[in-house]
Amino acid sequence: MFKRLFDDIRGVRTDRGLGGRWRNVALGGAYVMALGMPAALLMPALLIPSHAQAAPPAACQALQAKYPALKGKTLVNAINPHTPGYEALDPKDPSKYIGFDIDLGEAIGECLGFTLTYKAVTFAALLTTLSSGQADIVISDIYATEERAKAADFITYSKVFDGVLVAKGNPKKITGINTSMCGATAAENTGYVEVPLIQNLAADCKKEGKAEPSILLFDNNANCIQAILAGRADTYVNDVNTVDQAVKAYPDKLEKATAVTLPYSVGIAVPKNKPEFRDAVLAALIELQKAGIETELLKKWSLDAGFLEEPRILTTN
Amino acid sequence: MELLLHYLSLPYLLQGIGFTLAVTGLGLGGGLLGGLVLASMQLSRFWLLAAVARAYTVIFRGTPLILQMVFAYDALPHIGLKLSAIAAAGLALAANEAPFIAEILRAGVLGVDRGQIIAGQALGMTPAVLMRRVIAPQAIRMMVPAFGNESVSALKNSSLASVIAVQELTLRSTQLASSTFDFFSIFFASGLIYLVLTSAVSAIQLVAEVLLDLDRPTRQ
Repeated sequence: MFKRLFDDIRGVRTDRGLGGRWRNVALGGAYVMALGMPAALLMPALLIPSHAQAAPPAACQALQAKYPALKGKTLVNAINPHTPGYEALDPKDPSKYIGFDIDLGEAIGECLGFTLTYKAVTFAALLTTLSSGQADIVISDIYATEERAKAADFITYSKVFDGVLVAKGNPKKITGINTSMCGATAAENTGYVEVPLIQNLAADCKKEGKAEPSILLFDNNANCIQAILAGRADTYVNDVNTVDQAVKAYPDKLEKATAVTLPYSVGIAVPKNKPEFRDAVLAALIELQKAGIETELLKKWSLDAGFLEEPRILTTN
Repeated sequence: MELLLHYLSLPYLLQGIGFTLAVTGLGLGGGLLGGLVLASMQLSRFWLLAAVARAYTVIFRGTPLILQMVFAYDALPHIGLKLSAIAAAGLALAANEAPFIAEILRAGVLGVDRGQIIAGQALGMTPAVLMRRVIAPQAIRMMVPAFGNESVSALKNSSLASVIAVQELTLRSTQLASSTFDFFSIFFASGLIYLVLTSAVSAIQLVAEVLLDLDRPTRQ
């Protein structure tokens, strides 16, 4: 067929039927369209959820009866899957996401009767994806702050402890988010709560006659770690467990300088206009925590620095 | 080396090619349709049509593709248009490609010797016949190299769909690197896969050029 079309355009063929009026123009399109054909080869890429291990507590039956709308639903969980331990691809089977947050989400889903699929986005896009309706829930080790609560409601469940990741030997002698960071370069993700905290050091640094800290912004955790390994950044401040995982992966090149407490809690984000869903997730999380499942999951993922607190809601108008 | 081969043959990455090609196909297909409309508007005798096409070109050629993708995916739902990730990426790429393809089409048509058009008109050819018999055969031949360029660039630009959760090659590579820490082998492997894909586009272009070559010996 293509041969005939090409001959046609070269003026070789002599029979010019009525149907051939726009054939010549269509040819250019045919060439471009040919590239679209492999789209038909598109393979299904639904990620199969891994199952949480513990059985749901008995109280979940009552919750399913109280919130019947969620039963049998498939919801979308937006994640930034670059944080082994919390959410990352399974290196043994990359068609699956694994980690504490994944298991926690599945456990909540099992309790309330819904299942989850995943949408991988950049960290800064987690809440925009939620508020545009492209996702139903965000369980991705995100810290609940007043600022973020303007974009989504949070169900918090754990205190925030940050680790300060530095190169082995801590060449810049960084001791936390303080004036020891003056003149240093920090790697952070766009939208991280640590970004303004580090920026706010500028005034103190100036007072001490030192240069202000500079920040390199990335869009996932792995890039921040690579920035230290490549010598582009001196430090990366993030969740202490994430920092520990990085040190475990590169014990010869990285170390944790110190751990710091931040006045935030880790939370699950849900849309602001779905208070019933928010309450259901809160109730399920309370049951899971009471039954010891959350602690079990923390242990399973060796997140021993977890500091659970009673789940509560953070919302602003 | 062993790791590289492992990642080159990993089904998870290979399946990403399907999404890369889907976004590219939607972008080029939609871009061609949009380009045809834009080019005919720009070549039209009605100044208003030309002005609208020019305005569209200014907007979509003048803003970054990554912004257009995020807009299609995260901003359009706020006005009630919720597209799937692939559809949003395809729409943004098509909207972005359309002005470039329109320019290729317009340049091709305008590149045909004016004298031939006047001669055709003198022979009483209608505009449609003139397009089919005189302009298009020459214009399309001239457009092929530019289409090749545009196709390669669209294929590479499809990697930007990774920011809006399309599970294409780049997003799969970054996620895999994050969980395995094998940055070097994984990005080397996906670079090779992209090279194979762009080489295939170049091959299609070469075949098209040979088939359209007037000096090609015919069997007749």
